[in-house]
Amino acid sequence: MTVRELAEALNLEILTGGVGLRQEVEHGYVSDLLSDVIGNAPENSVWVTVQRHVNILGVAKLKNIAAIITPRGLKIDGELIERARAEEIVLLRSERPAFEVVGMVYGILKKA
Amino acid sequence: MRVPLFSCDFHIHSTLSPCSSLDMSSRAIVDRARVVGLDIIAITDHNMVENGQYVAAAAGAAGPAVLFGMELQTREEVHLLMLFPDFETAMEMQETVYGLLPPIDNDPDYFGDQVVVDENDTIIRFEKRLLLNSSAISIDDAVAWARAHGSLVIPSHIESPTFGLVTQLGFVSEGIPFDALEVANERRLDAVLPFILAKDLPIVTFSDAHYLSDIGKKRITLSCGEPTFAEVAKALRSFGNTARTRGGSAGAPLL
Repeated sequence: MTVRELAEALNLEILTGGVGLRQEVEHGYVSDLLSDVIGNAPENSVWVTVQRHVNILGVAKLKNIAAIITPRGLKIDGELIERARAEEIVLLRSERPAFEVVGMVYGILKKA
Repeated sequence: MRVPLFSCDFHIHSTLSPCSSLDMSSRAIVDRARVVGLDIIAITDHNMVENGQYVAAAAGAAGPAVLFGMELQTREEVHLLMLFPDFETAMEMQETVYGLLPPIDNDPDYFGDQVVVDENDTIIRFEKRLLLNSSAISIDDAVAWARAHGSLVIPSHIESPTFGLVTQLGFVSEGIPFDALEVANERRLDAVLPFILAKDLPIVTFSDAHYLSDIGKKRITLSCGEPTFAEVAKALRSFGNTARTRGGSAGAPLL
């Protein structure tokens, strides 16, 4: 499933415009400890986290994470969005809490 | 001319930190610091600076020199030691941070009391709001604030599995202008060296004292003209940086 299909199916807000939407998503991961993500996230994942520090882009790059979902409608800095666009990492956002987002992502990836 | 050497412990909690022993009063901290031969100390309570003024009063002209500090917990759940040039600047940061803490009351039975104690060990007040919490300030904004207010920022125990910079944010990027990095356990340093991209930063170690017997157990020695904030800031810049000299040996994954 592509990042665009995932975003549309789960009604996620796309913050980074048109970049990177054709990338394939095969797995998901949820964690707010970036060291844990570096150690354990599968490649080609979508990653759910409340962290909004710029290091999330470095970790996403390292682990070939196509998209990051911010839950709970948390505010994202314009600077982070610009850097994500430059790195072709998709930033998505949901109004729902992380638990619900993860549940929806799991359900749709299992079906795909 | 010989430049004097000063023994420094810049990470000491007082009675105002809930997790800290109630023996950590202003007077007791000063007495212990003298016994263990510390020349400069900093009081760094969780998200608070207030007790620093009383420790400074207890120390008086006889010393040790007392720097005003705080251990800030940022939005990312990273602990940062902040050292301020004077008490007014320190209080300004305390007020900023306090307003950004979740309005949750401390449970003294579970976390411990948070007590402001003066230089004569008299209780001034109990802080009601739980201080063991993240303030809604980002690490970048905290560092920018410090830069604008002539203050120092040293991420605490960067290799620690809880609240350490490397655990929380994966690596120490080159982009953030920290003044040093604190390592709690030097034996764990090799494991995080590959994640320290900012190789020019000094690496320091302090006691993170929560009990009187901890004070000064880990310390650094700085050579400066006199034991003042300005001289400490200057001396820190030239303190050794282990990350560069040791290089990046392959480390085990953290988790």
